[in-house]
Amino acid sequence: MKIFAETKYEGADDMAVTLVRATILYIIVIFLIRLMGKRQIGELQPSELVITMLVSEIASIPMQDNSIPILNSVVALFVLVAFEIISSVLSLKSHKIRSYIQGHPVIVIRNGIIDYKALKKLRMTVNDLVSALRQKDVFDFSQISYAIFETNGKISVLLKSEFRNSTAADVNSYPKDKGMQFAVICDGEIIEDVVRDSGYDLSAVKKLALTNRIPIEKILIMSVDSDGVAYIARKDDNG
Amino acid sequence: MKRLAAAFVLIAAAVAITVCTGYFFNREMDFFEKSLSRLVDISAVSTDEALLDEAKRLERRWSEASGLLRSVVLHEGIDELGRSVSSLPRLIEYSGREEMITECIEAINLIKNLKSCEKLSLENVL
Repeated sequence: MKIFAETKYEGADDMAVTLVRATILYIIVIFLIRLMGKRQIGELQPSELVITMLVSEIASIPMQDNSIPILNSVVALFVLVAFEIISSVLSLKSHKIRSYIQGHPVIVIRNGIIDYKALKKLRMTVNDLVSALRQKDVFDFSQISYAIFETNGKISVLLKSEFRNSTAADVNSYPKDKGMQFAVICDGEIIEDVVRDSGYDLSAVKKLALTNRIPIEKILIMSVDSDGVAYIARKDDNG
Repeated sequence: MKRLAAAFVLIAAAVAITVCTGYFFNREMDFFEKSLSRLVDISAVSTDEALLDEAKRLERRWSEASGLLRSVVLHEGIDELGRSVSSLPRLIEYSGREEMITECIEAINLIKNLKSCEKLSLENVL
């Protein structure tokens, strides 16, 4: 019975160690990911994708096995993320370094003609190209003026002018540009960062809310543009 | 620029952790190597009580340092060394000096092996 009790205690202790280690690693990983900057998975450069995967892999090892020193992983994580930041800063400063680390976009269709050499250089088949174009909703090759493989592996397509969507400018119409809408009040709370970005000040936002005769705490969302309130919804409008 | 500074801080932190853990490991290993050699040297002239005191002192020091050693070095040799150091008082009391000396020499060799395993060398890097 005593042995059972001791084993149980040790098990609980081990769990507590895992809990603390997981917490420490979570804080470190979040800090490092924030330091690396914001990018969505689909927009990552190959090197960034590899670093992100490595970070998660290295962080998971000491979490799974309590006998592995956490410091080993921490050192590896620090070094990887530091080099990633340094290389991204150097990429910003120098075009040469950028093209060496990230590569450069490759034109695979030029004036409607497939550049087979460029495809071979990318080690891509025509099938891969067709598939990438289909994913961009382009099914007719004859409509394409240019197709470019970007450094993050995505394809950009420029259609011939006669196949592009027409815009207001095509019909000589220039509607007034109200700029972007900023959601300055969300869930009854004024979001100060957004207010700053919107170009309004706090008192102006409060005044805008008052003119609509809705107390701020009752507003679900209020967005503003250069003309003033663009959209407002009460919390109770949605039941 | 802030990011670049943060990157250098991360590298400095990584280097500092590496240097500190390396220093701690080397200091402890040197201490145990010297203490075990001393135990072998004095075994010819000391009384059983003096030897036992020395071995117990070593065991206590090991129990103080082993936790941190395990947290900085991932090597089975650390546990083996712990078993060797902990067995010394028992060997002196029940087995005899010859066995104790053999255990000490094995532990010294293990320390040398551990030191070479943890050394920054081309072999270890590769």
